[in-house]
Amino acid sequence: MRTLIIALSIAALSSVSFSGEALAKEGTATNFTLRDLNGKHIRLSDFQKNLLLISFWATWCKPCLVELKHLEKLYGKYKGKGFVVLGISMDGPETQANVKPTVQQYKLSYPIAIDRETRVVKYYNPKHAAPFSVLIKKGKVIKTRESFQVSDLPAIEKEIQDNLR
Amino acid sequence: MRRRAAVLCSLSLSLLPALAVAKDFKLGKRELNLSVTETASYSYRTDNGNSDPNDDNYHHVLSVLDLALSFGDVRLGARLDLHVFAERPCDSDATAPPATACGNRFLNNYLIDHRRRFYLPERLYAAAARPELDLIFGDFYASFGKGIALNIVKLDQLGQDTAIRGGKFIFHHSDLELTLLGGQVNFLDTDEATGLRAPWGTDPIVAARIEYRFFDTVVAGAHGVLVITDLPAGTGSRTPGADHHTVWGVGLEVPSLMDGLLAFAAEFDLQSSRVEGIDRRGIGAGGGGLPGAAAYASATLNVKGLTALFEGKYYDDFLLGAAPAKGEPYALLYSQPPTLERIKARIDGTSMIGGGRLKLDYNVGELGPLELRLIANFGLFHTWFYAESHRVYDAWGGVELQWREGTGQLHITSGMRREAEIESGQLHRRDIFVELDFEQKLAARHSLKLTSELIFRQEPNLLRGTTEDWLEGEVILSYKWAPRISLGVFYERQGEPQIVREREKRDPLLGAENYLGGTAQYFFDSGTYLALRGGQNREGLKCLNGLCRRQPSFAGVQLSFVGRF
Repeated sequence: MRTLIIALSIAALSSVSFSGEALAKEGTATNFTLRDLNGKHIRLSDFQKNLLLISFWATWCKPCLVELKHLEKLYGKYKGKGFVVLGISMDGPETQANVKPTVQQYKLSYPIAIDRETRVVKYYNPKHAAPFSVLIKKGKVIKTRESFQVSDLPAIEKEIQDNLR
Repeated sequence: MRRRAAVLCSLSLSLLPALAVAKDFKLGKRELNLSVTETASYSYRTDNGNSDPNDDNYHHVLSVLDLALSFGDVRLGARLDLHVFAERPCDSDATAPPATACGNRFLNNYLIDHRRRFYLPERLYAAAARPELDLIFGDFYASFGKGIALNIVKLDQLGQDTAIRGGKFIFHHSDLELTLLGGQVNFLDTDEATGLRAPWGTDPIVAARIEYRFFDTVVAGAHGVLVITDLPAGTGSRTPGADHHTVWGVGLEVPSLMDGLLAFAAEFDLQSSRVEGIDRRGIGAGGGGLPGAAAYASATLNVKGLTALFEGKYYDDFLLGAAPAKGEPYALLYSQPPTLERIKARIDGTSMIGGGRLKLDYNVGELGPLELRLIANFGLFHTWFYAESHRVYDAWGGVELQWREGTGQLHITSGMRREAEIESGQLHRRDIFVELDFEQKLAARHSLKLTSELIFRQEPNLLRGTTEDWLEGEVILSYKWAPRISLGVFYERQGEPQIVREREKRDPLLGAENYLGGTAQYFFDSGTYLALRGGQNREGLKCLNGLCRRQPSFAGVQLSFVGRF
């Protein structure tokens, strides 16, 4: 009975917040430091002035590889307007050696970092770690996205356009 | 029972639409952000066809509540898990600990395990991230170098997330990075796949690593790890603190030489272990200092669309993990030696292995309306376990095709992995596999996806003195109407003779080798969705987003909600 009361209380409290006007779909993105593919430190705060799309991916994740190529096209199209893609590889030790060859094969020009300790992805608690993306504007998380299929592309591009205005 | 099931069901549904909130607010002049994320599921498992009745016919509500409060560079977080069962699954082993034993299953048995009836703080942390400093108290993950010495990272997709609870300090200034950590291993209390309590002890770990980047080119690192492993209280008679493992290692990484033409990485680690009564391999008198060693190197050459990746390794009795515990749902390891094995390959241990692998990746480029990429891989390894040694051939190749500016693609990979005893030539295992991924955008917001994997396996059955062949695999067809709806149907086959023999006795509806099911997802937002899964999944190695674990078969329905903002 006590479990039920606790669980229902949490549900009730959350429902109040959910239905209230105060709900903001924005959260402050926590800063982080990771190494890029050349061993240099890369920080979230480096992209404070950009519209930043963080894409969590891995070499073993087929939908991620499809998404990477499309993100490269979007990056090429909008980087002049302040849009940046940061690819964060979720590859563990077993596949880390594949990361650089994959980036070279797909001719990715945007920055790639390696989250070998899953330190950054844990901030967002995705149900499935990859593909998972986060759109950040002025240090605020404005959108998260789990899974990717090519039919999601129009919505992703529209989010970028809307937030670059 | 019906009333309890109804309460569980209504409880889970009451949680569903509500629990994903992010809120910015001010406290004095300070801006704070509170985010609440809920992942809830209700599942009912019917008879899954195995011979154990104790994992059938139970209801399970799982609520994972993530809370995070951020202000400035500080973040406070918690993950609270609630498991509520009706007719909970149990371990029929008479020697199982009371928390998981079957004794009172069909009575009001979850009273004897009342910790499950409340939200348990599985993860708690306070973290501060400054440009040159990361400080974490509470639960954190850690991975050093190539993961040979220490690799405890987020793995919750398969319900086997493990962290370290203690303190971690990372100092990164210019080209220097220094990490110090200490704490106890903190695994999830309840295994989601089986519903059983995790049985390990909470092993203490201390570790340190220093990394420096020289001449803008070379990253050199050194590390040390000490783990004290023990059995859970009340399950063994070992002297507390007697068993310990130390690992020392150095590594070198040259990410880019000659303008990206070459890259190189290497690591060497030494392990020394002391295990009372037995050695790490589980036999022999043990008790003394047991040496282990691991060496790993990889090199990449990149020339005009062709990438050649070479990997070489030698691990001799190198293994770092928790002491095996009765009824453990999976082996709890603290390190993960690198391997370029195909992610879905079934591997019997990587602690005593030597060999190399070459992988070629050639981007052919555009051929009319198509874009083509070719991949080929060949690996040759020796594994050994005392007097017995095996040779492993691993060869596979693949094609990746894209068309219409990437709105359609096809990946096909096929190959064979063969493992046989060197002296007698007797087959240990042979897998021939075909993997296929196809995706096509149909119209502006519609797409179709087909994913399939078929494996033809061959293994000797030592008890019967025969060699057994079987087919296992899956075909998944899914359709997405972006951004709201995703529908899927799947067919799975598991012809492994031992599993089929058990299922034949249970008279399954679709035949002993077949499994069928479907999924439906509704996305309220890109990160918030409701999912329904029904039908059957086969027992066997399941890989989800690249992580693999042998899962029990599933039969029943699951309704889940994932929400975050």
